[in-house]
Amino acid sequence: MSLPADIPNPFRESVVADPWSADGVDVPRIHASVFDECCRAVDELRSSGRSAGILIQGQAGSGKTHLLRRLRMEFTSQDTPPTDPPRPRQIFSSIRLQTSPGMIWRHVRRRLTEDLLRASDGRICQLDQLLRFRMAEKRPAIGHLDLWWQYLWDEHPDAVDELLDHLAEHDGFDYPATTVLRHFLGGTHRRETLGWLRGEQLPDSALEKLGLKPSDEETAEPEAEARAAIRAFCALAGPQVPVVLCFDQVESLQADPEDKAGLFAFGQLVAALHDETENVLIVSCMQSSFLDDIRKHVRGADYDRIGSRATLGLDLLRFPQSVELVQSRLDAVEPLAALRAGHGALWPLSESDVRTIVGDQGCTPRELLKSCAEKFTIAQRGAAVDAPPVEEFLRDEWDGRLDQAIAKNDANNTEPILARGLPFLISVAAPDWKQQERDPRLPDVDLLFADKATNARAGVSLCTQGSMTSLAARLKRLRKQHAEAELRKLILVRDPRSPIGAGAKKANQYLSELRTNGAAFHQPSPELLAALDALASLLSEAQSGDLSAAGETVTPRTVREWLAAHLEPELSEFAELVTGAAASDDASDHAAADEDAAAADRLTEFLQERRMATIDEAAEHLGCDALALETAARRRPRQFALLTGPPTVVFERVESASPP
Amino acid sequence: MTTVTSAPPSTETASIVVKALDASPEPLKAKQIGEALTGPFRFKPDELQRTLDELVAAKRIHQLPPYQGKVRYWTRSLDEFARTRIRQALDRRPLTRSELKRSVKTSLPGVSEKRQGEILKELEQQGHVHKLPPLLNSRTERFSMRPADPREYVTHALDKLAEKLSKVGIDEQRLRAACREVLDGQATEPAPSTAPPAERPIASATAHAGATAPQTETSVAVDEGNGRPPVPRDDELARLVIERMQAITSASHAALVSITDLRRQPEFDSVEKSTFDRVLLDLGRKERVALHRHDYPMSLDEEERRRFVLDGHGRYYNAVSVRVESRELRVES
Repeated sequence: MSLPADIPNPFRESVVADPWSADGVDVPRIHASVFDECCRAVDELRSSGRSAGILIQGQAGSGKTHLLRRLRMEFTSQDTPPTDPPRPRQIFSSIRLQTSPGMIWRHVRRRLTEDLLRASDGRICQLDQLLRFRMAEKRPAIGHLDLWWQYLWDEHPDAVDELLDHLAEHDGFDYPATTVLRHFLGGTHRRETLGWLRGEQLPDSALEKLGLKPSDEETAEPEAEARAAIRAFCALAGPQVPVVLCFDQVESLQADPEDKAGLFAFGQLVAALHDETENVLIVSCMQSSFLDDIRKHVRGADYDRIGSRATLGLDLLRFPQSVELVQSRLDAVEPLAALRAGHGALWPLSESDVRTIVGDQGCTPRELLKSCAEKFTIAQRGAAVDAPPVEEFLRDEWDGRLDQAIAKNDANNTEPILARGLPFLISVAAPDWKQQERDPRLPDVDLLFADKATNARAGVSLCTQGSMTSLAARLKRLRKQHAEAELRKLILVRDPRSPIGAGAKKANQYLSELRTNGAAFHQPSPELLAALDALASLLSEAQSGDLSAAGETVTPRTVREWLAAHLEPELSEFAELVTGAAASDDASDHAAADEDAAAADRLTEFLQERRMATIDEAAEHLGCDALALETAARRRPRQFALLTGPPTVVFERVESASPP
Repeated sequence: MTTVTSAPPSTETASIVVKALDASPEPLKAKQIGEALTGPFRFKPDELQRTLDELVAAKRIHQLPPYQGKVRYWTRSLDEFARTRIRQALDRRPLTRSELKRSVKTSLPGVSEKRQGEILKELEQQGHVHKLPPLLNSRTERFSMRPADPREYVTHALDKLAEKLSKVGIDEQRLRAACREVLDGQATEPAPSTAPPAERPIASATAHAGATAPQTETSVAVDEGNGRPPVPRDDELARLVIERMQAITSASHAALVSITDLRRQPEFDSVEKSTFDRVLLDLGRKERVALHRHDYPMSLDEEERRRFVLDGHGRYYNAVSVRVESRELRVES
């Protein structure tokens, strides 16, 4: 009996992209011992009062993310906990380490917060559950927790403040955090509140709404702040509610295979979490191919903490497990049921097919599914269908990722995109250059690159501060650092969607001085930032072994070579700006670019008040040339929209991605 | 408490010292000799030194040039020691002339480079050492304790080809399929070794250990007089592998062990790479251990790949764990 062509191939999907993705076919027996060990560890945390680490290693395609999804399902299931007041059993967060070593704490804070704010299946989010539970501990809740909570807000709103103060005292929340949590509970200033919780750099106006002052940039240490926030979130959960932090794609912290800083930073992160908290289970997933690298680059004491409870390998599948996986995939396709009746359990495949695929040392689930998909296609069509060449696959991946990056791109992500993407870009576009560790003498230079041959250094400072006070403070410090540093080039980067208004006198003054002294000021377009984001995401997934073309793992080297050959011109120019004697060094070009950027900044600021205006009105109001203003707007199609006149009308585009 | 005698060295004493030196695989310093002697033959340092001086004068033992600041004694000559060192170095893996020179340089004080070259030539003429033709794209000859193995050359050439062709999108699998096609169905299994029984299998890192059928080798490799302990049998090795893995991971179940770390365990010093690989692959087949393949072996240089276990299909394994379900199993003798 032949297979109709319209029956979907049950073996096509072989990658679980995200532990939070919808539930799929799962064979509990596969990696059961590793799963059980994680569950036991969570249970024991409740009584031990000591954080612990589990290191899980496996080949590319061995099912690391699949296992995390199983853990997520287990730890966020809806079983009613047998406690009064009801409390979450544990907090779960899964963090792909697609970030740069210098922003690792901020990245973890952002992802942890996003998971704490996830509301699934109509339930309140994990953070809400935690806060209510902790408050009910202090002021006993009678009856249903939701009703009690409503009663408290309606009848005793002042009590909420008292309870928050109590939490702040016990869990290490400072005044700004307590203030923001109150907004969170009350549902006020939602956008600003969530932005603050995620650690975004908020403009002065947003901080004002929340009742907070701009942070003192002279002493601000964003990484230390993020670390303190994570500690406070974990403390908020309390000893009876373990926090499960799963780190995936650790390998993507490396900008290139020689990069040591990424893995070192990861070791430090885990060690700090391990030692500074009492209720955290840290699950770290890595490729077994990196075993020797991890041992080499992570400090011994940190490595011990990564696997303080257990170091576990995800074994290759043997025959019985493989049969089970194949069968469960076939079972999941309903139209196949009737056709399979009267045949073997694996029809249209056979046991001998599976045995051959498994071989004498076993195979990964991805390898098994890939081969089964091919055999299913042959059974269905009489011949194998050639997989598209890897170039075609990468082109499709690139286009898809670029679209996604454009859709989700907003100014709040600019700093992490640059911090993560630029090292990847340089490693692809200028392999003769190498990222260097940060220089303690240049605390405001976020990224340093050096020419391998001449050791000439170029520094990049991410001037993405939302608050003009903070920006001015940074530029002031940079002025001094630039004068003293031996840098061939200093590039200041700022998102054009966060204009430096004419009112920001100090910031403008320091910026102007820096540029006079040779620093370059670059405002990457949203399209460029999206391309950088897509590049980093593609390379990160390849380095983590999660990029698969028709079931075949695509190596990082292949991706690098493809990217080098197909780099978007804007990305090449950006890399050239950092590493080469870029055109912007030319004085007249520099001045023209400055004027163009300044015009766009001022127009943005003007439109944030007026929403819409004719070009002539805007030019008159801003005191600048109308043609120059129109040109600046036309150069930034994602930022401004123009209605052809006469008169020509300009307005600011609305972000396509809506805030959560 | 150890008693140190003050009795003058006797004929018996001298012969005990000679016997101790004779049994030693390498020259010993006076202090080491003193520590090797037991019971009534433990002397004060000056008395032992007097005995050694007398034995040297009587030409019953040799005094070798200072190593780490101390002279050493042995019943064999400096040339003999140089021969042993060279053979030991070449027994691990084939080396070029300059690699060999670097390898033995510090441990052979007093032997000029010229003399080392002469000794190497003598060993070659006597058939103890084999000069191997250069690998593909290389002009450097290498030396080995074993004759050239075509499999090493084919593997090396395939690695080079895979690296080159990967740049134009041809992956390793396609390359191997093409090779099989070109060979047109010829047997791809390596032919049985034609080496005489006294020769051990090739020690090359790239030898196709896994391509051979599972072995039940029971013979004990013979100590060839180079001072190394006898090589354990495969089944004993298997037991040792599991034991060492459990020791490295502090008995943590299913923990991954780096093949490089495992190979460095002193218990495997005298074990050839091909034997070690074969035992690991066999344990994998029997589901006692789980071998983990390196996902991007071509991103590593040859030296790094050489540290991994290689099967007969171009797959490199860089890590291994004891399978959970078999961790309580004992390897049967």
